[in-house]
Amino acid sequence: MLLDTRGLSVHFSSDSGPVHVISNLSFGIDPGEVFCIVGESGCGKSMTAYSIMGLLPENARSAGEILFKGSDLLTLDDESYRNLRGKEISMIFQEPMTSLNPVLKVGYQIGEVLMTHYGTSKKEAISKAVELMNTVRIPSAEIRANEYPHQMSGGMRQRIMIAMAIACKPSLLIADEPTTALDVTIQSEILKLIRGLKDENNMSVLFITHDLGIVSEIADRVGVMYAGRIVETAPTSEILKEPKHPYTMGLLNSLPAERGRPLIPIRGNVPRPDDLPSGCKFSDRCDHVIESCRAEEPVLKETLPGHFTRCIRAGEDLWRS
Amino acid sequence: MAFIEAKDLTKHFRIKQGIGGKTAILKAVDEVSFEVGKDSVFSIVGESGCGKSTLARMLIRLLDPSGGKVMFEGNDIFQLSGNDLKEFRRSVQIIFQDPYASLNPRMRVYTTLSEPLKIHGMVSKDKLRDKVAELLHSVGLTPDMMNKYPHEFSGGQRQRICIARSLSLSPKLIIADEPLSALDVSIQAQIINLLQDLRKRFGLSFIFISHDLNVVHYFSDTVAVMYLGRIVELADADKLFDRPLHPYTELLLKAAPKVNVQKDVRVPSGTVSETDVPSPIDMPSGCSFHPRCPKRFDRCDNTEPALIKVDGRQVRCLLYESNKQG
Repeated sequence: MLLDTRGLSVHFSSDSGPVHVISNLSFGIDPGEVFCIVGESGCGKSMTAYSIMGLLPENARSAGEILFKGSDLLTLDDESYRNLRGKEISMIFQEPMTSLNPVLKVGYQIGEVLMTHYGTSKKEAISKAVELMNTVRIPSAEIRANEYPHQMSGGMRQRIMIAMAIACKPSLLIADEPTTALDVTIQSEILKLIRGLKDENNMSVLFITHDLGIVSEIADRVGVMYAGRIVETAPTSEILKEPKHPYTMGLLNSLPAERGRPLIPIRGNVPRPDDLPSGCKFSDRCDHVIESCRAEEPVLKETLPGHFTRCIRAGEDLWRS
Repeated sequence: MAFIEAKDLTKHFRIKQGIGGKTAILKAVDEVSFEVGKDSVFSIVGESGCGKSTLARMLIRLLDPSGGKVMFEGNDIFQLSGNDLKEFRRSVQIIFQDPYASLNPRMRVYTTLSEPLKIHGMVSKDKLRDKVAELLHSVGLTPDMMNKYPHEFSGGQRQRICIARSLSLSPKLIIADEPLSALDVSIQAQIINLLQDLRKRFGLSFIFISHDLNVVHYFSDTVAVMYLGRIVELADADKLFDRPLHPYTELLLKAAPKVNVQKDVRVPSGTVSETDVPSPIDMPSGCSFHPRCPKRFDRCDNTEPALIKVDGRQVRCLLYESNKQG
């Protein structure tokens, strides 16, 4: 296993006590695997990514273990983390404009990664940057390397971010909603690009999204997050065909399918992290809730080989009923 | 007679390129024509920058066009004044994308919802509270929420308040400009159901603007696909999604991510195209889609295709010129 997160918890301190945004999160990613974390806003999916990257805000406190190639990232000092970031693990973000430096040419920005990690000379780094821009299919790369981010479209900027992220051939790429700000046609190009790069370099990808359509197209395995917890995790085709957790079912039922058939939305609203129900955190919105759901929080149990569900009714056939 | 009709509707913006640079013309909307019948949902789809929001703003007279006109119930809306204009403002309402930005943060929900009623003198003063309560009820909120401020609500609830406001004057047509994009998946479904329900209950017509093709297919009767300010295909929703004619429509449909329960239909890591949407200031010659078109041929880069009727729909592509119908 390349990345093994064990019992990760993250909380922020506030005036009214600690606010838990991630609770006892465990998942692993194998080499060359695309693992998708899917969930709605505020479920803790971005915080998971920041925890792995060591980019949590100052006032956040984390516990548990994040084992990367066997060593715990949470115990690393700043210096070792800096050597790791961008080299072994790199990340691309939702908004490519705010993650690029507006006053530096894109070719230099890509090359900078190589200068920092390998001490490559500036000239060589920039020619390497042009190669990388070719890899991410940016036309006339040599000329565009001299452009500034504002001269490029959103899709091209995201390609620059990807070029930067893969410059050192990392073993793990974290992509936090990388296509949310892009149009569908550009989105499909970026997804194809990420999959292609993954295959060529045997890279693992942690892909964060709220869109089940994207999950269906890119993921090998999926973890569904709700209120800071993984509620269900399984291979992609299985979770989409045979969801076991009512929240996953709710997400699938919310998607428009057949015309004229009314959608079945999940009732209520996403709860705030400081105002979660007792017992199962989804109990107040769940259509299959029973008395014992509110008594104690269910654990993540293996219901089928490789298929884990955090629901006391996971053994029943709720999806078809 | 069509309920609302756009005739050669055009909006050009003059923009300066850089400091002291040359002035260029941005053709945001270029000679767009369509008709919407009563009691139907007309959707406009396209990528960002294709002019769909500019079009929406002209349809409700928030923007003046550079050319063409909009006929609503037989009258040109840009010629209206006085009471006729007030009547038009009452009949056509708009819902915006961002429910955070479209509610006044300092107004209680009651004030937000009662203001249009007062301005249009729809309800006598002593009945205002009842009417606001009724509006909240019709969008699935409770009357006690009228004394709260917008920040006390979630995104989905705020969008319900915006919908309630658009309903307050009993309009005939609602223009919804990406009403779901700012909402979570589970909340989107609630809002779609609400819009469907209101449509049936009040016999409303909708002009629905979205980039989410799955939602558009689910919700609309007719769909117009826009590319760089022009309609490239206009057809019945089922026909369009069943068999798109224009190569751009085809590209859009193929690109839209769909949940597929059949295993292993993941994106092939195949060829990645190198082209992006061209800038609307520097439009390609001939057919504006030709640089990205997989089906382009010789004449595409120098001949501008007209919008022609094929198979009961309209399409702007040279491929179909030979099977043109009258």
